[in-house]
Amino acid sequence: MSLNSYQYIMPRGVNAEGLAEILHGHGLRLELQPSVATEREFYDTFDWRLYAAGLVFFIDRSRDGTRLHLRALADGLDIVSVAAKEVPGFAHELPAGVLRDRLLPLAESRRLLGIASLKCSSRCFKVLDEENKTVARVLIERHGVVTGEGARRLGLGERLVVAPVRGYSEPLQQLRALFEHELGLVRLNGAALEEALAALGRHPLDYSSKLRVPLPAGVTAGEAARRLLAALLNAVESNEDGVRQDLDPEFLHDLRVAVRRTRALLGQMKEALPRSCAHYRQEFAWIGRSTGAVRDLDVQMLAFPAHAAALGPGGLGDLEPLREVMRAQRSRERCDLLETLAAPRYRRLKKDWRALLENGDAAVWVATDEARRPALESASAMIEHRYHKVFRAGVGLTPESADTDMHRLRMQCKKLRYLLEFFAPLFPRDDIKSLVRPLKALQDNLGEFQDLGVLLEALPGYAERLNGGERANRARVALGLLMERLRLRKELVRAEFAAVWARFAHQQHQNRFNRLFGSD
Amino acid sequence: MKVIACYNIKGGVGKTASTVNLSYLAAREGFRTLVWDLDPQGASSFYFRIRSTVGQGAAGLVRDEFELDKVIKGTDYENLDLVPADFSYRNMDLFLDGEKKPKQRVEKLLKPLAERYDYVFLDCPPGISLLSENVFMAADVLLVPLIPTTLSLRTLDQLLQFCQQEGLNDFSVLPFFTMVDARKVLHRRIVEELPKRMPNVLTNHIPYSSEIEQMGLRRAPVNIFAGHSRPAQCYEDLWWEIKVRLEWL
Ligand SMILES: Nc1ncnc2c1ncn2[C@@H]1O[C@H](COP(=O)(O)OP(=O)(O)OP(=O)(O)O)[C@@H](O)[C@H]1O
Ligand SMILES: [Mg+2]
Repeated sequence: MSLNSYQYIMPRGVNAEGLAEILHGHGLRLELQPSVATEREFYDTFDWRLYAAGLVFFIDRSRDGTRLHLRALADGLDIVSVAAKEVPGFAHELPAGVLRDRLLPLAESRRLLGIASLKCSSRCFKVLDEENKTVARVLIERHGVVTGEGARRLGLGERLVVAPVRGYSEPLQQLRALFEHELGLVRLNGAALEEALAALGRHPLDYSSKLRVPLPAGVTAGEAARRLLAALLNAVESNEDGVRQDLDPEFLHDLRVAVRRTRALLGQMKEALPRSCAHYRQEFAWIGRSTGAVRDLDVQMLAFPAHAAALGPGGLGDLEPLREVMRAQRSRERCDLLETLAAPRYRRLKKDWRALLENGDAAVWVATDEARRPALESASAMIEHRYHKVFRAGVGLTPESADTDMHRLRMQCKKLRYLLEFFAPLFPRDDIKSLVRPLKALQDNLGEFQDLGVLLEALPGYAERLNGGERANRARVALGLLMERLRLRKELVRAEFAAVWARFAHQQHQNRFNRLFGSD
Repeated sequence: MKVIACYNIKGGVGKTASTVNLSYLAAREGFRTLVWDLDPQGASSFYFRIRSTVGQGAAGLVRDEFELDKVIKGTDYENLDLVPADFSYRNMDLFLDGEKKPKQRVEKLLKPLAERYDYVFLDCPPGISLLSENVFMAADVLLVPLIPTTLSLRTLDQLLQFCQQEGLNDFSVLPFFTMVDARKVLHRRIVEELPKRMPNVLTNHIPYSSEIEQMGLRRAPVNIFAGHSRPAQCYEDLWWEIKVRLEWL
């Protein structure tokens, strides 16, 4: 078990020999170890899920072997440290154990990406007792950040580290008293991640799939729209690389969400926006269309293991040929998607759109009366209007209603949700939260219903492409069972709709909506 | 948490050497590992350079508020901790005897550590006593080092008989050979014959070797100072086999 280590800024003008002298002078028995070079690479998901959960995850490579560490940010304490050859692409590929149990629920299907590398050379003094047992370690660590090409190193200075050994508190107290009180050294925290990132010009949490655009209180509708649209364009561009490299399905998902939010905003704020926006609305619709097929397959394939698991052990194995068909289909669709991302039309869209948002004539964003209205006012009006639309679409639905009616409600809900997210900063936080919660539950229900419908429609098509043979036959049998299950599940989800809707339509929520956004 | 007890009725068979080497290998792989030195002579504490205490160890163990956590010491190796022996362990039975559940004390003391460690190794003193019965209750497996001699086989039979009498069969007994001298015909024969009538016997064994003897001088696991030697390799193979067997439990 590792213990909290204590880190300090190394005092100027003191080297290893000088430090040894000081420690000797305090009656400590020392053994100097040969210096060790360690390479440390930090990992997190693209959206910083580990860091956001207060964790730092890194791999240390040195002559003594390679170890993975999961460390708590708060106290610099290792939660787990295990020997391993490398960091796997995904948390689910880790061997069973504490590390996997901690990482998987956070990272889920997101890839673990290298975010920064450090080179560290350290010299270690073992502090020994009369049995020559190590009772504490004092290390001098020199860190350098590795910057991309050419592995240029940026020095981060030296730190002095006291690493205690469990059950030996006396030498620890002695060392701390020496460094903190006698020498007055400054304590440091963490695994040097923040320092490394700062040296690379990055900072943690620089991407989130949540839209977080601060809107000042008196902002006009036009200006609010411009800021939101600019943030959404950034989100599209941030995710492009991950989509191109196919790092994990969430990149495409986030890119598409940003595109959909853009379209929703362009559609709903038409009157407040520059005329040329109509053209961009069409262009973003084109991106939405050209990325849909891959996303549909991603959704189906992500849900697959869970569905197959319900068939019992062997279920997933039997269905493997079907997954192969889906994978093949996906890589064909991905070719089209990559073509779209490489197309001049796409590049032009982004360039012109950014020019309009950032450098263009500022006057076009406040050209109409609607644009000059306070954002608070027009947001309220839009949300109220959309809320009534959701209501009208949902209120008459019965278990017998057509799937297309459910779909219409789902689309209205999405638009309402986006509006609430866009303009949340203008309204009291707790109010927005308590309105979003039942809306989200409703969307989850409608979303699952929709996904099941899509999957049920698509599966027979994949089955047609199975070849002959024993394996394919087994897959067909398993598919029959699976479809049966999916149909049952779909009915169940539909049956749950009434309760979810009732919660959303509760008088209390209606009152809150009216109070917050009502025109009277 | 899996509890592995290194145990034999007979003394001087390599219990301590095996505890020290196997626990080190487990820790080196990243498993959070604890050694509990239950032998008042404190041999495994000695190998890890941790002084055994001359205190109230045994009396402490039976006190209600006692926590093992408080006496754990870190070894010189990552992931490897140790509960040092206490000289008073020699009177352990006297203390245990006064307890309500005298055979479950060790198990109870280990329980709070279940989330903290992956493996716990118990280095046991020889003989059958209340303490060894505690070990039987707490252990998931009994690793039984055997020198391939007729006398050793007899004590193994005694042990198995005892377990049967006491109805103790919810742990596995895994015997393995130590101090095997390939030049001795008798050693070779027993190593070959025993697995035929006792399929539980592990197939990897530890040869008689000067490197293991040197552990006392070096005060370190053999893999530290003679990593490429044959006995070091043999302990690695043995550890691999034990892990495989533990998965079957
Ligand atoms: N494979 C081996 N080759 C040579 N010597 C060995 C080997 N294994 C153990 N020894 C030596 O034999 C002696 C007894 O070994 P060890 O202390 O491990 O046995 P033990 O079963 O723990 O003894 P005790 O019953 O006294 O606790 C020690 O001096 C040790 O160095
Ligand atoms: Mg011993």
